[in-house]
Amino acid sequence: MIQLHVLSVILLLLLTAGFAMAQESSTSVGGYGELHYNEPEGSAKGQLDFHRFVVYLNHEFNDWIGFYSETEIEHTYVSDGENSGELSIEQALLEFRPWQNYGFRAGIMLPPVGIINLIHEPPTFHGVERPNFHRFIIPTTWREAGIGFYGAPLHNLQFQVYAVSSFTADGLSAGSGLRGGRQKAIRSSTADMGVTGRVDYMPMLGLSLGASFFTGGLGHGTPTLDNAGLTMLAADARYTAGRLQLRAEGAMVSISDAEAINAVYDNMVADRLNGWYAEAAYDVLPFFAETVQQLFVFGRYEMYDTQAETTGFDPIEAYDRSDVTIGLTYKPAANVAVKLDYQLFDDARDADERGQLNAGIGYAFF
Amino acid sequence: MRFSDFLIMLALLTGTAAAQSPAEITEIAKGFYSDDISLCVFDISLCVFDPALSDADLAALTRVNDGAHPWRQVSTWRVLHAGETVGAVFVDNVKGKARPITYLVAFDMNGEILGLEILRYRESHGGEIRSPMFRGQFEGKSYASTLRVGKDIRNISGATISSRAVTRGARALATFMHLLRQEGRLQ
Repeated sequence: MIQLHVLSVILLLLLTAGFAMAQESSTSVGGYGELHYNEPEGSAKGQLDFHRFVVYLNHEFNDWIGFYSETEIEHTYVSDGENSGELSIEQALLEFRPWQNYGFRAGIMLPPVGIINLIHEPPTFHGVERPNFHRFIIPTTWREAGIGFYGAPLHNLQFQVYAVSSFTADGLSAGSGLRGGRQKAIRSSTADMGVTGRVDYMPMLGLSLGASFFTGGLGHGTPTLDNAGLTMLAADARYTAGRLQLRAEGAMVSISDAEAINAVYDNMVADRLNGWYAEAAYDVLPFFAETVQQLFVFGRYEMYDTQAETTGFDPIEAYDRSDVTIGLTYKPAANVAVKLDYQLFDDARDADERGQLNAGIGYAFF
Repeated sequence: MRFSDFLIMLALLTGTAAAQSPAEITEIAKGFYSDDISLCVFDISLCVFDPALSDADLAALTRVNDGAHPWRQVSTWRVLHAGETVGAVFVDNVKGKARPITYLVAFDMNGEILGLEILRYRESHGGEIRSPMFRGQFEGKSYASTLRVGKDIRNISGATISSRAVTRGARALATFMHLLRQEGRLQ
């Protein structure tokens, strides 16, 4: 009986593939990837890492129902050893769009907070590594299971709002912020749900403004953590004019009843985390050649503090950090990027800044 | 698997994009020409496998498509005003991040774009390309224009894939239009 079941599944898959090919446009694949070279100052040799390899698999059931997925292998392979990479489903969701300008989504999705959690293909951002703001304040890549509504009431105004699994208090930490608290849609607790949303507004051509939020409980039934919760507010702006690109983002995370969380887990969680960055890039290639290729020179300054405010203990200065990144992004084609940059990491202690050289290649196709 | 399940699966798999109604196309085209125009279906296929297209045409189309396979089926209409052809309207699909974007481009007899309209946008993000601010950039552009995002078409941050897709489509259609004019097939 089980064999029969397997057979029918295989048959179904074959049929699906057959029709997909016959239909030509109903199933599509795509993907992105990035190979990184990192060399911290003082180390004799750097490290090469095929950081991310992602495959998109999408399907259109009809004109208004679609499936969208991203499957990712981080660090090339997965084993049970210490150096293992990670195999994960980043996104897998169904979109229902019964109206021209409004629709629903359900599945594993990316909370739309900030710019890079949602739009993270390597050719879309400067620098080999994502800004540290997007690691320590907004914990990209951040995915949760959820359901919600999106729409565009005006041509230049879009919104999305979803109910998703919230963070868990035990995973929050002093230095890494919220990263360990992500549930990642693995048998996620629904005792405390979160709500997340975003508004995108384009007041003029070339300028895009965004405001986004997340709010949710943290206790998930732990008796003393009924009031523990987290609220994240973020704002971002992107401006392009000719060869100039500017972008800035900021976010603030407030954690309520951090004292109670620390009493249970002793993880030195702060009451408040915050951070921001500003970045400018300019395509210098037209100075040298008339071409559709691009060569951006860019600079970025960011500050992020995972212990901006604490109760019951003093903030650790090492977690009040700032980075300077300068570098080049060469785009021989719109969706291929060759990157080179130098980063200086500093924090509120008196210790010296640390430098790091990064090189990388990245691609995306759709 | 029961046969009924199979039928349901089949129905799901064979769902195709809804056709645009001629009335909808005509209404939009009136905005670009005048109220007293009518549309008649163009009696040529603009599929680039059309044997009427020469190797040189194919090469031109391949070039404007950045080397990507240029096959696509374009719906075409001749625009009539008082018995005279005054332009051509094309409806085409380009792929956004995952789903097709259905758009319309109206040309005058000089091959210049009178307007571009997004007929169906299906992705959850990037819908800003429907804004008149973005679409207006195509007015007056033709085969002779660069028609590239970052050059003569300004990008929309957060809608880059869609901006590029529609611009690439408009560039290909401008080339179709150029070929039609060159071969005198619009008269």
